[in-house]
Amino acid sequence: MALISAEFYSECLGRGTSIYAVIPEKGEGKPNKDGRYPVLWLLHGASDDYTVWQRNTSLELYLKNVGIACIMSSVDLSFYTNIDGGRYLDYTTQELPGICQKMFPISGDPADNFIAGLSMGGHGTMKAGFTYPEKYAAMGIFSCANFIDLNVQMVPGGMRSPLNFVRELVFGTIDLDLAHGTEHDNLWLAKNAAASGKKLPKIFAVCGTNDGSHDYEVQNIEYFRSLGFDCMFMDSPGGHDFYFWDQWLPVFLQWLPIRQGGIR
Amino acid sequence: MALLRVHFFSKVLHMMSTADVIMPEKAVNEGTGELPVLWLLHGGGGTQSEWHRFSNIERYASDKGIAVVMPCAGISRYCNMTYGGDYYDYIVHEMPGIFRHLFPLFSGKREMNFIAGLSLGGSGAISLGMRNPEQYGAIGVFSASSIIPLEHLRTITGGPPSPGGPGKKSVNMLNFGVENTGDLAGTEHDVLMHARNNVAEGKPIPRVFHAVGTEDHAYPVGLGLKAFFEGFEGNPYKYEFHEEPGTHNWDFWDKWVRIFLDWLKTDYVKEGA
Repeated sequence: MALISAEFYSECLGRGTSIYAVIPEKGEGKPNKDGRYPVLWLLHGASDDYTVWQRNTSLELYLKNVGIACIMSSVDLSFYTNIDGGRYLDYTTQELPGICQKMFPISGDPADNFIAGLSMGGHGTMKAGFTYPEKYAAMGIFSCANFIDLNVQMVPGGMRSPLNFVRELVFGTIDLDLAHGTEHDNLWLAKNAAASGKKLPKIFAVCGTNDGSHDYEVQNIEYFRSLGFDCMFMDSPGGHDFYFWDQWLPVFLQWLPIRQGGIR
Repeated sequence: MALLRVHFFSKVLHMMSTADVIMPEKAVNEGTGELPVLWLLHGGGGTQSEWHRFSNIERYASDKGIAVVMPCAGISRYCNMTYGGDYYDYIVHEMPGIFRHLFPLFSGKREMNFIAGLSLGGSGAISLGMRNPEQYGAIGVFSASSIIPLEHLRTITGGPPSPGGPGKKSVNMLNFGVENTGDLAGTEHDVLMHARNNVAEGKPIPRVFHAVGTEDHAYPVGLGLKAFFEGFEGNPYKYEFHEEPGTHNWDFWDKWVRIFLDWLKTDYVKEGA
């Protein structure tokens, strides 16, 4: 596998940004008949950046095992949302795939595209997958439930503290209850996706039993299942950390519906 | 424009290796088809990052819509080292395949692949180019002073200190298995021999662009190279020589790599996709 770090300008973000791309080298992986690899869009959590998955897990080893490419991006504290400070959802779901499909031998076929993330990246995964179910064959939700239902308390430091300030910047309100039935409500987005008649991505979800999101996530998955999503939920003792995510990442990758494209 | 750092496994070197890439994003996004590629070589003691750290190559390449691959050849003189890695094979034979795989827009056409470098990289560029005229459409040589068989014209002698420390093998010994690179005339490392043979054997002939400062220690070797190319009847290499007051530094290379890219452009616009 080749590890590529790339810096380029994003129109959606109005500035330069960085990504990691892991691309199978010649003779590795499972390219489709066009010689292009299935690809996982792997999203980071709040306060993280494009480097964390690569640094804190054996990602590259696991990817090599299943033979697919992976792209990791940086979205700051945006919750993968289009906000005044940048169109992060558009960047994640449209601009970045467009740039990467041109630069790298990755497939643009929805059947070869998967999206996953941890914590805020799980939020982004649901947001992207439920807003554009036609773009992805599968979603991976690590340690995340519908954020606006989690009753997350303000942190010390007042409104200028980034984790508080982000509520206004992203959700437009301090009172997250008001975000129900909007684009910030992943259950609402899921309902719309199910009602759209589009082919729905498969869902893999996992959460540590010591994670505060655990019971919420169980309920969310039950709800998605009731909407007609094909869901797999797993848990094990563990918290909200990379010890847990590194254990489950290879399981998720094994679960992915990767097509056997045959070597060109 | 995009700047990429690529970590990949080299079978030739049998180890992980690193190269930097400039991707002309505008050209990528406008979908103008396959990209021309400049293989741009660092100088002695340098590494894959020096061109984009010390010159404006990223801006120039982006304007011209050309991709730039900057390999790292370690302490080799872009040769298959006698006591070390096969950097010649790595850059000429292995990297093009790997990079066209990772970056499908990279052209494999001769007339859209160019090789250039500064100082020892300029010497590498002309050496690799002359030994593989079917692979490169043009060669750029900036301030090269290590051209076999013109070693007698060098004004700096002795070479860099042994990497292994005092009393250990010299860089010449590590690279070529000889102490005196003057002994390499007539061997596969003889650039001018390849240049003559290419013409005599009717091989495809790359264009050659050569620039050197008149105050550069490489100037006498530069004049020797100029005299060689001017000795051909009809200038088969379409050899262009440029000199001006200047020395062995990034002010000179930054200026001349830009002019070199201007000079290249006519090539791929005419023959490219």
